[in-house]
Formats: sequence, C-alpha cells, structure tokens
Amino acid sequence: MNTILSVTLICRLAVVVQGISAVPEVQVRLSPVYLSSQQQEARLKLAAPAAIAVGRSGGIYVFDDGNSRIVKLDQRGSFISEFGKPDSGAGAVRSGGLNDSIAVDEDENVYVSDPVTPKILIFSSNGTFQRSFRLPFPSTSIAVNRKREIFLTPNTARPTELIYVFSETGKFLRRFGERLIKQPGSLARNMNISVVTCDANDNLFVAFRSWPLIRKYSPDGELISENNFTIPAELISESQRKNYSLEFFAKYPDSAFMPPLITHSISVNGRGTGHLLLNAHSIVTFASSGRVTRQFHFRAPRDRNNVFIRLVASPKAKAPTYLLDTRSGEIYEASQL
Amino acid sequence: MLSKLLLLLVVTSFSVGCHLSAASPSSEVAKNIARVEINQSSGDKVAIPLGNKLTIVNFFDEFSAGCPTGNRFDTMERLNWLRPIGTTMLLVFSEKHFSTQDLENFKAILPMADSLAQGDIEAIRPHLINGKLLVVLDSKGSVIWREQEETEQQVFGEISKLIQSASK
Repeated sequence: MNTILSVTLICRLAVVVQGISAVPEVQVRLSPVYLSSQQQEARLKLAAPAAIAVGRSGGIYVFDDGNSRIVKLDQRGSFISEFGKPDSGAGAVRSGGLNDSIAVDEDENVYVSDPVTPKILIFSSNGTFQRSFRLPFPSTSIAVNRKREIFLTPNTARPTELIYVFSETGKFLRRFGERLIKQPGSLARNMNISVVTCDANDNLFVAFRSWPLIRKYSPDGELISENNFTIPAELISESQRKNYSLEFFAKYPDSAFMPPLITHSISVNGRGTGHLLLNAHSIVTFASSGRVTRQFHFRAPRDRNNVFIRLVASPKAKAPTYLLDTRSGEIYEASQL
Repeated sequence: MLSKLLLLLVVTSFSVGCHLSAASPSSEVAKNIARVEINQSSGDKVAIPLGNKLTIVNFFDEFSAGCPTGNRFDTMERLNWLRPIGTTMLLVFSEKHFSTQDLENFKAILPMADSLAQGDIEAIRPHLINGKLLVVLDSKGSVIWREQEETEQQVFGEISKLIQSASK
C-alpha cells in the first residue's frame, strides 16, 4: 500500500515539475529598425503596436493597435504607407487588445483579425481593402499558407477544435486539433489560447499561450509531432508550481490560476527554423520537425524597459528576424538566432 | 517592475472587446417585428414564420463568443433543449452586417443550424440591447415577452416558464 502511494506521489510530482529548469542568458545582437520615439511626425509614431508580419518583398506590416491602423514599412524601417484607419469605412481595423492579429500571404496580401467585431479583413499589399468576413468567435492568432487558406485560433469557452480554416474568400473549410483542456471554463479557455504559423511547406505550427508545448500539423490537419520546451525556473514561483499541471486545469477549469508562461508569438523562417517568444525576453528555437533545439533568455537594448511581444521571421531564406516592442513602439532586427 | 508589466500583459493579451449599446425604451416593438423579413435560400423574403404555440426569436446585429451576444446564443442553446413540438426558435442575424456566406459558415460551425437565419432587421434596430433583442411571440404574432435588461439567467428562467406554460 505504501509503495503504491509513493509511486502515485512520485508520478504526480513528475507531472507538476516536469520541464522546469534554469535557462541561460545569451547575447543576441539587436539592431534598431524602427524607433517610434525618434520619429518627428505624429503619423510616424506607433502606439502600443500589437502585431507584425513580414512579406516576401521584405515589407514590414505592423498592427498599430493604439492608432487602429496598419503601418507598412520597408525592410530598413522607412515608412511607406498606412491603411485601415478609422475613417476607412468597411476597411477600418479596430483596436482590440494585444492579439497576434496580422499575417501576409505569398503575394503580400494582408490579413487582419479584428477580435472585437469579430471578423477578418483582407487588404492588398498597397493597403487597398479587398473584403471581410465575420467570425462567430474572436481569434487570438492568424496564419496564411501558400494556398491562401486562413488559419485561426478561436478564443472561446465553447468546447471545440483548436484550429479553424477558412478560404481566402471567407468560406469555412474545416477545423481540427485537440484543445489542451477540453472542459468548458474561463481558465480552460485561457489555457487553450494559442498562436499559430505556417512554414514554407504549409505545415502548421501551434504553441499554447501558457503551456510549454509545440505542435506540428500537416497541411491537412494531421498531428505530426508534439514537443515540450523547458519552463524557465526564473519565471515560475513556488506557489505556481504547485498547481501548474494539466490535471489541475482540467479539474478546476474555472479557477483563477495565473500561469507563469506567456508564449507571445511563433514564427518559422525561410530555412525552416522556428522560434517562440516567451515572456518578453526569452526565445525557444525549434527545428522543422518541431523538436526544440535551444532555449535562452536575451538582454534587450534597453534591458527590461523593452517589452517584446512579437518575433517574426521573413519567409525568405536569408532575410532577418524582427522583434516588436509594444511598449515603446520599437522594432529590432535580431541576428544569430 | 517587469513582473508587474508581464502581469499586465497576461491580463490584456488577447483581450476580447464587445459592442455595447443602451436599452431602447420604445414600446412599438410588436409593430416593428412584423416588418422584419427573413431571407430564404431561394432569394425570397418572408415574414417571421410562427409556431403553433410559441415563437422565440432573437435578433443579432452583432455576434461574438464571450460578449453579451455570445452569451445570449448560449442561453438560446439551453432553451432549445426545452423546446416542445409546436414552438419555433429562430436566431436572425442582420443582413447589414452578416453576409449569406457568413450565415453558411455559422451554420457549419455553431449548433442549432436549422434555427439560424439572415434577415432585414432594420425595423427593430431601435429596440436592440447590446446588439441583440429577444422576443417571444404567440401563435398570432403578438409579443408576449420582450427582453428588457435581464441577466441571461433571468432570461432563461422567464422563457423556461413560458415554454412550460405553453406545453400544458
């Protein structure tokens, strides 16, 4: 009896503390591409930018949430245009929280998720509004593959699949993927929030906002792999460790637990290497298989005053990776990732 | 400092906004409901089809899970389980904001597909409360219950009673 109890306790402990360890700090060279505070004109200043996407031409698209618009920059950070402003009628984007809400396709059409209405707005690369369609739920992340299929992660307490797919014309196509917590509830809803990206072969990578897991799906939605990364010990308190388990979340899907981990964004570059940005100053690198290869903290140019919420890679093989700081409206080019 | 900032990010990240609007004091809702038109797949527009007993209709000018409109949908789903034969349930989405394809998507994604419809609800727009309005009609089309400022629990309780009474 005692043996069984001990084994049970050890197993439970293993579930709770699995994958927590210290993560090293690594020097990453960050070169400024766009510094909002140094812009003279009011229209050039970003206000709480929430999302960023990079096109094949190198064009950088920023969801400037505080100003309810999309800003297009060239790869050196020079302002090119703005669109989706509040006076744009049906093509107006709304501010709606720090969602990962912008994606571009191969032809650099721009897809914006409006979580308030909620709907998807589609623009051409020069900012001309094309069309929009409604969603029955807000989406926390958006990705587009080579077939221009639009992948969305629903933010809903309703028990449903993880990923919804729509055509470029807005027709619902399919849904797939198991949620992390299947029970309905507010905590379950938060734990199921995820971010999504496509690689050059239309595989889909999904990371959960608050659980250290990366999933890889085939283009038709078949689960190919699941890989865990380490929870940085520095980020999780003793009290959080006690309840940080899927078992706890499933048992108390409406509890007020505050997860230690925030996976802000996921991106795969043109060479097939993927990156997650965690808690503003941590990066997880993964291979095209989804296997985690490296994990580290990095020091930002202005240390903790930089609050990075997005990391995005260009789809071109030798193009740069960018980090977006929502607090200051700064964009940096990251090398050696 | 950073921990506070990250806490703020946790709270604000992926936040969901909702459309809000004030309640309408108008009492002309019954007259205006008769002017609502439902779009049929044939392209025809028809009046709200009435059930033999009750017709429970919710108009949506906005819709999002987690907002008052999404919560209303959940209430309608619960009521649908109680619905006896002869009582019709209809969820009408404004054609001004929801395209035919949007409705087809909703039917494929959401439950109660047979009860979802698109229509011209401009006549009752002044009566909408937070982008929605729920009314219960009798077999002659008279309004016997209309949403005011109730909680979803109150809405469910009151309409459940009406359904039970009509079932007797």
